[in-house]
Amino acid sequence: MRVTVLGPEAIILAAAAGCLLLDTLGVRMSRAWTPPVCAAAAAVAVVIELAVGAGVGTLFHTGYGDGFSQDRFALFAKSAVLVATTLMLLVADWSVESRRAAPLTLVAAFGAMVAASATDLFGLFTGLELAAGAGVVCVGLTNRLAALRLLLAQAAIAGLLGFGMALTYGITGFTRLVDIQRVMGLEPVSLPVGIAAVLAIAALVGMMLLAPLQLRPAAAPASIGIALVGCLGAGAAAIVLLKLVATMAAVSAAWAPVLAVLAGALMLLGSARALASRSVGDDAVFAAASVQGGWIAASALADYRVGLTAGLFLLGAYLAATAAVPALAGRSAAAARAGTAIGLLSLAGAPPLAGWFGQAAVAIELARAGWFWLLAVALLASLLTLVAAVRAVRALFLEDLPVLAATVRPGLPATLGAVAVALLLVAYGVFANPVHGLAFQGAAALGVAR
Amino acid sequence: MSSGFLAAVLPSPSPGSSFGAGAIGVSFLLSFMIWVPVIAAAAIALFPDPRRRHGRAMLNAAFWTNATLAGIAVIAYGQFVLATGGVQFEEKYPWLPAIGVTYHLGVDGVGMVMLLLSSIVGVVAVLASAGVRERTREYFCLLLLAQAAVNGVIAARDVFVLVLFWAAAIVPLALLVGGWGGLRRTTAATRLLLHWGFGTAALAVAALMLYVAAGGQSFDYDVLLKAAPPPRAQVGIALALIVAAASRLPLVPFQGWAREVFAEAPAGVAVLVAGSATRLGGYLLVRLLVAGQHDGATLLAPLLALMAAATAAYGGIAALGRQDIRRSAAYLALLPGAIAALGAAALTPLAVGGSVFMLFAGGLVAALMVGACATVAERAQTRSLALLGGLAARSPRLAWPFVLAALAVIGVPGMASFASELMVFLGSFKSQPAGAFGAGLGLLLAAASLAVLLYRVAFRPPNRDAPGTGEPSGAETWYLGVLAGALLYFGLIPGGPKIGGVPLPLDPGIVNVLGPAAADIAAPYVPGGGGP
Repeated sequence: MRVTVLGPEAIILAAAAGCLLLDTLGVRMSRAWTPPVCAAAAAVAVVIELAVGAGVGTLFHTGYGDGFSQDRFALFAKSAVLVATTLMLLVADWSVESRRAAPLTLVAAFGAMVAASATDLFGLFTGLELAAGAGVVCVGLTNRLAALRLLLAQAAIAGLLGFGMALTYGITGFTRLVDIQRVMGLEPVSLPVGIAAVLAIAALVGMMLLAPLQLRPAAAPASIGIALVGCLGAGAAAIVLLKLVATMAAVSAAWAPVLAVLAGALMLLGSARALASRSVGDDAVFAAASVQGGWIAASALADYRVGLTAGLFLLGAYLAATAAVPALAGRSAAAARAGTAIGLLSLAGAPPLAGWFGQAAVAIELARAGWFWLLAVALLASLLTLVAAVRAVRALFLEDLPVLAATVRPGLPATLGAVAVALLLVAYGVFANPVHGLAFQGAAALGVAR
Repeated sequence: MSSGFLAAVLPSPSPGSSFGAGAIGVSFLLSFMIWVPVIAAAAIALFPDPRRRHGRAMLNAAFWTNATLAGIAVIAYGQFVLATGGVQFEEKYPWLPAIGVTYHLGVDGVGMVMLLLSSIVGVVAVLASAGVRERTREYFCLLLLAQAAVNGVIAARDVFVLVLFWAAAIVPLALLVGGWGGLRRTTAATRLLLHWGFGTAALAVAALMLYVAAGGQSFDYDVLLKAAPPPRAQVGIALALIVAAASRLPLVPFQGWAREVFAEAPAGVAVLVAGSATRLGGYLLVRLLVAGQHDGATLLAPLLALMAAATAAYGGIAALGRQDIRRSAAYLALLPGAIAALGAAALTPLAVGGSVFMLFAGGLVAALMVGACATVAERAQTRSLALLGGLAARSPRLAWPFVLAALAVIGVPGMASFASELMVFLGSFKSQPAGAFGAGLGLLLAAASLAVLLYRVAFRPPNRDAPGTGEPSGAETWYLGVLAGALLYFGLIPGGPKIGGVPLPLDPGIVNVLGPAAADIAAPYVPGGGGP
């Protein structure tokens, strides 16, 4: 059992390393087969994760001195990451993307998986940096200047996070999340504790929301790098944020107001950016994604277990939408346009799509916790984003497409991927109960008292 | 097909004497009304049409889908059990039990009347769209999705489901206006999105406040409407509900979208929006505010009455000075909603019943008004009132519905709007005299506007410099005729046809269907009626 539960990670890592190695060695076949092999590896990993991971009890420690655990939180987060990775690899336009982008996608997914199952600060930081770093490298394959800018921004954010984590270790004397949670429950909220928590949380929100917003110039023609940063990078940050929030729940008085202001301000920023954007693709997508990221961050403010449940539930919707939309936007085929439209509308929180259900779950928990002002800000941001999304959908379906876009036609895998994304985002709400139930078990596994 | 009709409507939960009642243990009528348009929309979207040569087939598919729904709605209306009242055709399944969401559908008399309205308007909207030639696949897809959302709001018995469908109507309608509208379509679509989106946010806040106040365990009407939140919370909830309803109905000061949308949308979309989508605002007032927030409704009733009076007056005055027939119609279409809101504000059984009847009649009136004016503008190739003239002589088939629409707006006897307006005014002059007076004044101003409009469009000599006005097409004649006929039918026999002891199964009488439910809703406000 201890071996099989690491199966998905092993498959992802082996596929990524193998493909990179073959590519480096110049094996000719690898250039054609790399993306399908990586997509197949991710798909197989999803199946194994769901089959084996679900069979494990609520907590199962393994590896590196119990540095990682397979619990329901890890099951939910890793499954969502792997599904998003599969979709991302399917819908990417491999005629313009670098072949090395496919294994780098797996590296980012591996990073997010490490963060999802990490039980200490070291694991969280490592996983996050792996995911973010793979994104930077992937962007650098097609646009070095954008990658450099992104690297600087992420380095600053990582520094902030690292400092916050180090301070947390210094105050509590532990790196294990369970121990930190226990110590923080005993201690009164002091200034250093508050500073540590605020630094860490602010850094994560920054990574979730600000980094993707800087990516606009990196767009054309390749977009998987953007998806990597916006989906897996920001997704990993959201995973770490939810885990840290659960760890620091006892000192929420210190960080909750800061998180509320950050989430609210960045939702408004994202929506304003979405409204100002004139393109269907990268700009609008990431502005909309920022707003939904803000919703995820806001979920951490609700009463913890149910709030984290809502946050996880929304995270699944977020990952599915951001995985596919950047690659599909700008293509003229009907399936691609449908996938783009549904993904964008889901990010904007239009019913009855996945994003709406996730945002509704967060809204309910914010209302229960009495955060009505933040709820009002979030609803306003979503409304503005919806206007931008509808404008984009109108441009996709009801106006003549630009000549360049009309010539880009996806192959069968991309078509299947686009259809899968559309179906997933529609079915998410219909089958909300099992997904939400698993998210609840995931939140419960984080060990918060209520 | 007929067996399909029967299968869908027979499983009435009421053990009445209807043939086949109870033959099937599970009712799926309301799900059928919601999901069949969605399935039809998906089928249209997936239908292979690479060269876009099957536009007519798309129209036919949408028409027969809506005709089927209308047939089912008529049979369900005929089978509605008057004796038992309460919620019928109920469906209830857990959806998200962790947060108290159930897929709970059902209609009482009020819902049944609204469902009938939505079905009639749905068919009429497709007929009014017969002239659409561009991107027919997308057009009819979106039209069916909007229709499904409207039906969902009416059938919902769970506030979460209500908000879901309430919000789901926005995107398809905004795309329809933005994609197929007139010159100012982008402005119209954006205004629609912003106003309706703001209203949806207000409804979401109201729903969440209600949910929290009721213990945060369930969104079901049965729980939320029986909960008695503290008076202060009720005022907040009531205010949010009024904002949500006013943005949709619309009422002053949230009417900013209506002029553009009614004037710029294609005829079929304008008919759908005016006829059924906007009536949901009034339905929300009756269903959640009047029925659930007794203290809040009592306290804010004068505000609602004032908004209704201001809307009626604004509609009447604004229509006077217009030079554009579609804009005049847009302003005049505000009046039925204002009268319905006044009835809801009056909080008496007669006025609440009148309000619901006005939602039904007003939907038909508003649809006929904006539809007739859109068709006149299309046939005359101009919207300018300076150029239009001589419609009665040149195009009598178009002139008749136009004149009937004008008469229906002011509630001339014989029209369904007459009976409903009478109920509202009789029921509200005592409890909301200022509001009723203001709304009456608005009707007078509207009468003056309509007199001018009728003269300029229909009865003055034709303008020789203007392009000739052709007769309406068959589909246009049918849709205008259906609306005008329905207004006359329900106006002349609101209690249903009665022939010497012969029971007529298809029409129990609209006032008989809505009466008991409206009386139940208003009962708490009657002294000694079990109210707060």
